[in-house]
Amino acid sequence: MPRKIDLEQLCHDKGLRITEQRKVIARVLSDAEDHPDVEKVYERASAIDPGISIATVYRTVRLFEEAGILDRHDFGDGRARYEPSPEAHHDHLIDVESGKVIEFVDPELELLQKQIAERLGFRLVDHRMELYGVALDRKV
Amino acid sequence: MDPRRAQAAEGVAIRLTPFEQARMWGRIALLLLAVLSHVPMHYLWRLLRLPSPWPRWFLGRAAWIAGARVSKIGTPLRRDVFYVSNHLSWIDILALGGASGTAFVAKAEIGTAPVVGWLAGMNRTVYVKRENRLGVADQINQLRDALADNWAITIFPEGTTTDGKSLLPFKTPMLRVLEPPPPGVMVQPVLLDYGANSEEIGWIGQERGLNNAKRILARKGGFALEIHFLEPFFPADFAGRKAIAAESRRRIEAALVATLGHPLRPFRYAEEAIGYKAPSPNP
Repeated sequence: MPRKIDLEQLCHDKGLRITEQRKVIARVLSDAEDHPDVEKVYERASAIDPGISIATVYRTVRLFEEAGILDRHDFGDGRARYEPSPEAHHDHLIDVESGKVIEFVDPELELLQKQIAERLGFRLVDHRMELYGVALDRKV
Repeated sequence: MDPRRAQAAEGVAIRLTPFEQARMWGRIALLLLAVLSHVPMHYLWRLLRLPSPWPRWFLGRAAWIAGARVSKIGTPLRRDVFYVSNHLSWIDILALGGASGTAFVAKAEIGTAPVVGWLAGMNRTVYVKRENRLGVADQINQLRDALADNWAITIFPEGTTTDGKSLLPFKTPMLRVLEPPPPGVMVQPVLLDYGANSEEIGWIGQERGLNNAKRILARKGGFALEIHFLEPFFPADFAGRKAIAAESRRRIEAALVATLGHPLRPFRYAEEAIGYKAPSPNP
């Protein structure tokens, strides 16, 4: 699955003004593999630039989201989590105990969803699929 | 509920044992010491026209002296923020003020209370007259000025205190300051969680403010208070103060249910309208 979406470049393409702080936040988001929430982004960004406030992170994340280069997810833990908008579609599986997110694509599932929509008289244009699970090898 | 605690909620001034008396006076002495050591510094900072951290430090220390062992969960926004919090006790103000440096919206009576009014003034308390419906516009302007001045401001929209196992309906007039939202201001919902001690600490029923203060200050040992700074949101995303109140309440309720591990219960003392009277640290 293609990772490393360069948000900084996308900002540039979209004509967003890129300040130093936005650059740091864009880099943190581009490098993240774990769908971080704002608190995590803030933690990582302020490790690079201690001058960044959490309010700036909230504002920047919102700006990116509105520009369509960042996707927001609600995985049910009360905090919005973010990932750079992927070029190719994928679904998510959330480990409800650790909050870890696994990305997957399943052609059969994609097809099935299309067929269900057609059976109900629709042409599928988009969907969101979130699976919530507990690891099978979890120590009880 | 412990029978003595239940009596207190019925408005009975419970008798303190000699040990409790000693603890109470000890804490009062420490509170006085905190006032005497922080207030002059505050005035000095004011004289030098420096932003004074002393009210915040005072509140934090006063919370500690009163027994609160505060831990913060989540990151408070420091400026351009409107905190919306649930409310159990006067300790909320000490602890939340100490943890975040926020100013508060309070009933006008607090401003005229001896000592407490003077201290509240130093922490830039914004007073509202709840009865004065015509004065709302003035009060809203005052709040708007305060927010424009980069303050953090807290409101307790339940309008009274609970036992921490329930959440009352949110009153919305003060949220009119967010119609339209001042630029850059976010709303951060806050959950105050006293854990297993919430029923004991909560100022509920017929208990007089002074009796509540005595009972809390006479208490043995400390108690944990977790302040959950929940995920903030942009008020512009919600249509008006009612929607903003509903969203804040939804987030606080979800966090409260998660910490309690069971659904909220209806508030037992809901029919009693409890006037907010801050206890004096020097009864």
